Amino acid sequence: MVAVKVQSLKDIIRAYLQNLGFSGQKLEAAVEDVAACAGDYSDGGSIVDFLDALPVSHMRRQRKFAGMPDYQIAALFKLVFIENDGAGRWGTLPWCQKELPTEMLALTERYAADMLPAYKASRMEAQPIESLRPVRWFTRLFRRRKHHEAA
Amino acid sequence: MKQPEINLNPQRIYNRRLKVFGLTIVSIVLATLKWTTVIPTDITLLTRSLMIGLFVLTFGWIALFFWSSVFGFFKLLKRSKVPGVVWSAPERRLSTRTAVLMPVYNESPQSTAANLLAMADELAASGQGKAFDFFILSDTTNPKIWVEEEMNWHEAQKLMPEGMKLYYRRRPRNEARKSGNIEDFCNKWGAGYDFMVVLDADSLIEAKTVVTMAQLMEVNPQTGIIQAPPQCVNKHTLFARMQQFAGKVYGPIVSAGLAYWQVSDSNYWGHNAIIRVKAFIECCGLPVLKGRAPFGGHILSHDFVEAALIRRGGWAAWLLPELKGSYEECPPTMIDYAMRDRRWCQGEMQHIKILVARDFHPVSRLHFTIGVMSYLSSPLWMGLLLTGIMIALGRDIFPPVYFSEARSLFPNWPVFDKIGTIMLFVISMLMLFLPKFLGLIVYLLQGGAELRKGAVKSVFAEIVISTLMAPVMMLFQSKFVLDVFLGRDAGWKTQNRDDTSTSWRYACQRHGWHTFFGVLTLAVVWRYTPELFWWMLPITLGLILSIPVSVLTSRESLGLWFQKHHLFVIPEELREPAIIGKARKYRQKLESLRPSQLGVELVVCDGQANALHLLMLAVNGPAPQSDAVTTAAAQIKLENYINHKMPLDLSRDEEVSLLYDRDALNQAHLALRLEGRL
Repeated sequence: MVAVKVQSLKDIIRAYLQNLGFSGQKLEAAVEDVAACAGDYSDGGSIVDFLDALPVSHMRRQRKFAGMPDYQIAALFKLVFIENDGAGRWGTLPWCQKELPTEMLALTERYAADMLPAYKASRMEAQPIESLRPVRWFTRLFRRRKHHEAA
Repeated sequence: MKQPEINLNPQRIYNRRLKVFGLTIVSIVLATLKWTTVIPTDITLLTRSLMIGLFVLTFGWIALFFWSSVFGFFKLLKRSKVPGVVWSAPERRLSTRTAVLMPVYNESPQSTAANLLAMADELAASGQGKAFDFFILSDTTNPKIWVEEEMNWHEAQKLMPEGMKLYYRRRPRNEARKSGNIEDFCNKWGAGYDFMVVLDADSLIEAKTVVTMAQLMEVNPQTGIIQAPPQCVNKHTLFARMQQFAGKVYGPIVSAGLAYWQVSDSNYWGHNAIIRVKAFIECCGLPVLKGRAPFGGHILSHDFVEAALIRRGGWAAWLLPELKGSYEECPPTMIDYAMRDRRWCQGEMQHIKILVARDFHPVSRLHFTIGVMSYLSSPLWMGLLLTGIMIALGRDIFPPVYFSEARSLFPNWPVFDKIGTIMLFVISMLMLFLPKFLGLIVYLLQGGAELRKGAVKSVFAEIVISTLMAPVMMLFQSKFVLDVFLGRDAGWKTQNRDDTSTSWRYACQRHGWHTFFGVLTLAVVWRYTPELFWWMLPITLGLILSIPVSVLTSRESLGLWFQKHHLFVIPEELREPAIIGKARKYRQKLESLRPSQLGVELVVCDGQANALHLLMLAVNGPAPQSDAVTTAAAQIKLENYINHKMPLDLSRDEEVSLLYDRDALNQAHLALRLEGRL
């Protein structure tokens, strides 16, 4: 496992948000906001997992994401956030509000739908391809003859 | 075996086959009778039987090709369509759903996606676009290409026309290769679609053709497969341009001839075809053949078998030469062509095992036989030549005995029918080359004035160059057949699709033994049987010149020089089809968006790539088992890369192992940010 050097909580939040496209003064304000919103974060687990889990828990309420594992929903959230200038459009709302902005939810649903269509399972059974076996033919022929002779 | 209910009198099909095969058999019988008088009289019965057997097989192969082409020629002259197929009105709205499948294996992600985008663009313009979904079905094993495919797909998605979808999924284990890839699609999403258009990585089909294929499937409910013969385009080396020209001029009569006698029992060539998904799911699950590779195991040339199975299930399979606008790319060099042949050869030889399987339609068995013979004919030709040389050599070492010990009034004169030999030679050459001129006649009649310019001299140039190449291909293919019988596996290598030329050094490595064999044969013939010298010259010359021919024909500059002098020009070079132009523009656009980093490095350095890769990991899994040593080594190298700025020098397995390790990728991305390196 890659070791993350010991850092302050805010440093990690800063890096996390930078990876999502926050920069400049907006970044510093966002770090303060998110650090405050993550107030109930206990030191038991990773702050990154905690930050990931917040938007995931909001998205989980949508039926569309029911079958998706948490890490995939988190990745979906991040992709939508990065590609749609989430820092500018939604700021720290995904971590500080109890619901995701409707516009963002609609986008995540569209991204999920564009990923792959829903499974419609079928089962392709292996078809028999039986070789005609000349050896078996001969044995059969021989057997029949013996049978005939016996009769 | 069920018969498809099609609007065609079976007697008509029977008559067509009777004509082609009757004439083939008559030709074989007559030629063989002549051959028996031509071969020396003073050889053993065994040698005589061997020479007759080899002659029947090799001549039979030419005769079938010849008569099939002759009927194809008349069919094209009459401009008649394949009987039994109901054609729909072009404006018919599609009420069905079709999946366009692009199976890929370590291919250029930009090229494959560009081809799909060009097709989607045209389909959207046709107003029928919403009846189609596009899938990139990846079996890619190269981790760098895997990540690039994901990024490229995501960019291509944004370029798709409104309302049309482009999906991507990658299999962690490419079990059963391309057939397994398609089967996986059918098992997961097949039920959601009525038809699937199967492509190759270099396939491109015009929207008009794709829509026509889907319409044909709708109005011919007993049809399982429709194959659109692909035309080679887009390459510029001399070798490729020659292949493209040959495909354009001779291809139509070959396809028309095959369609003439195959009718509703045609074959499937693995791509540029539309398939009824229900029929495919019901009939085409491929078994793993008993026994060891190369004859046992997964079926490699799955297309022929799938066509045979779908036909066995009572569905019709059509080859429709009427369908134009279906394109592919051919290998750029003779060596690339041979390498592709090596894979195909193994697949075709495997069909020997299923040739006599129960319940297949006789025409399906014939498809298998044709496939086998397209490679087996080379060692047979070689055997015939070598037997002839050996007989001649034997005569030099063991002179004929004119007066045997048995009392006789007459001496034993060895009889050699020179006139007969020349006659047979001329007939064989006629059967080989006449179809080319028949193809040329159709081409000249149906092409415009600008196409006629240079066409005749191109045919002669093609005959000269392909004659020089033929003995080299004969040796290549004979070796491939031997390799297969010795159990050597061809593996699964990606076909070279770039216009890259062959270096002299590489040509020497690959053709050194051809040259040696040519020189040796020429020397032996010159020394011991000089009467055969001129007869053998086309073969020995081709072998001796194999290195320069291979190198020079691989040159793009020479290909363009020939083009400038109106040689091997095809209509697509004079007026580029819109879809080819669109595909090129999309490829350039996607290549301009290509990230500078690749693989794990891209995923840990780029937030978008990181999120996208982790998002797709759930559908690209489950992760294949990798051993603890590989995983540990990969982790250490990644840590060194982040903490000590060491180069990320990962092996393929290590990189794959990391790409499945979402925690490592997530943390590495964050750690690089914390280190201030992003």
